Amino acid sequence: MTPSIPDDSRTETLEFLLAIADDEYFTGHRLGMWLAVSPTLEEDNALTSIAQDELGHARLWYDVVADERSTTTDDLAIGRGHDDRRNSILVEREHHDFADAIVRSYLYDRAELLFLESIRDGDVEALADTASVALNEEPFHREHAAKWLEVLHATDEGTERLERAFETNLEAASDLFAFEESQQDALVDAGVLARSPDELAETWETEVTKTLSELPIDVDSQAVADAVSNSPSTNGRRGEHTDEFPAVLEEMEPATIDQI
Amino acid sequence: MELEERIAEGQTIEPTDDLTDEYERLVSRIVQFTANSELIGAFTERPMIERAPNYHRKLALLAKNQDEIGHALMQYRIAEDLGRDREQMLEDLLDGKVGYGSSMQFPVDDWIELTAFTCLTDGAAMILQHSLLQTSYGPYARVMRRICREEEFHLRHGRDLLREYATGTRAQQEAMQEAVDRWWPRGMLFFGPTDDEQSDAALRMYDLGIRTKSNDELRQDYLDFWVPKLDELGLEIPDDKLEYDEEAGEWSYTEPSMEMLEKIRTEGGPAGQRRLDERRRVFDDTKWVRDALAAHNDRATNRIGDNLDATAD
Repeated sequence: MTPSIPDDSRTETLEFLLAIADDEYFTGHRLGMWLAVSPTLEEDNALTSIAQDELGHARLWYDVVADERSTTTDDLAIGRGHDDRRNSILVEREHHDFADAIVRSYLYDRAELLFLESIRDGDVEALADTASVALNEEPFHREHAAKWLEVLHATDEGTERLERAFETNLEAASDLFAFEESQQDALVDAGVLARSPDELAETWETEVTKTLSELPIDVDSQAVADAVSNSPSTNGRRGEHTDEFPAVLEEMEPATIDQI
Repeated sequence: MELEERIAEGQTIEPTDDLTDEYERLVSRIVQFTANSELIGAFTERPMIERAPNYHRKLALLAKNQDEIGHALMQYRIAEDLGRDREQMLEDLLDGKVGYGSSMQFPVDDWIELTAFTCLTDGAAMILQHSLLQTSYGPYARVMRRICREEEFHLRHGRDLLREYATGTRAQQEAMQEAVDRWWPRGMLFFGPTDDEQSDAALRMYDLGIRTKSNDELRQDYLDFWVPKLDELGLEIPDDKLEYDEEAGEWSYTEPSMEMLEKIRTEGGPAGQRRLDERRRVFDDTKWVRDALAAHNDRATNRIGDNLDATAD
């Protein structure tokens, strides 16, 4: 074990952690916006709990990067423009409906878990400890998504909405693990990650395929394979984002007097 | 002993007691009003979560409003235990059949407005909630104990924001004062009509111990609480009649405008209908989820039934 981030892979590591932090930030943000508008009050409560967890995780990683770069978490989380963001495009769009929120959470949670475990099992102690903290809260998120995947197909409309949500989200998921080869090598060589994103993508594909095979809905399993094998046309890990993204960030600009 | 005699003796009434129709109806009525206010309050503050000035505030506002949703939920459950249907209660709110705090009918478009809203509207609701700790209906009193505990944190959050802006840049100070000018009368209005204008239903609520303080008494408590706190921060209260009468031991103030209250009741405030329409739209948009949940639960119940049948064979 090494106590902190090795110097020779510092740039790649911080860029990777920012990507993870941005993923968590937009996921938490989107889920939080279901407050007071979700299908039930019980669900408002559940989604805002998860939102707070994810925003909390994002802050853990922003804090690490902020320390290393002598900047602040607010500047990283709130102050960065769309070109600097490294989140997957999966998490950046507004939720189209509740099925979209659930399916996206499910697909993202599977990936998040794999990233966190890979950091936890890595050699960099400070990062492994942080990952362990975040991992503590993940079981509840998984149970929550799993429960709704079971519930929503109980009606024809729910089934159709689930199918559509899987189709659109699997398309947007192809950049989840699409980090540059050189960055992947640097992360594994430095011991930041125990397993490379390419390896994690294989596990993700197996797990998602299995979940889909157990659900009575009609989604082509090729869509999952495509998500991990096709190279993304828009890759958030390289700072490429959807056309809607600048507007998303604009809506999130602080509404305070100093900004007027 | 009859219900009213027990109440007069200060006994707590429980759901298992022999409740009169009137008592049930009046408890449900105030519970729905306070539950609705929590839900619409969270709905009002929601857009500001997205537009928080920093990470700390964003998380704090999200956590606060999660509490408010929890408060709404606990109170709707009290009404459910009295036989009210949740879906119907939400329909009644969205159709304007059962009201919510009148000061939640005004727009909140930035964090300074939010601060005034939080302090002077939530702050008014808190005064009402404290008085309900003494309500005769046991379940409501117990829920209020929990709500009042959590509202202490919300109050701290609100006063922290108030201090930040009231002692911030000159532009912030001015904007904060202007917001207080706008929200002060709305806070006073929150408590409803003056005592000599109260409805028969309101009067019966005192008889039955459901409420223990009148609207004007609550306004006195509100002034006791907020006047020194605004003074301390150099914020002026826009009421030239406001004065503490040492001899009488109470505040004199400009009576809240009954015309304005009537206008809000009949026509709604400037943001009231828009908010209800928006909330109605998301209620309708998410109906398919509640339908799926009901179908899923039916299936689960049937499976249990089938298994029981199988066991019986």
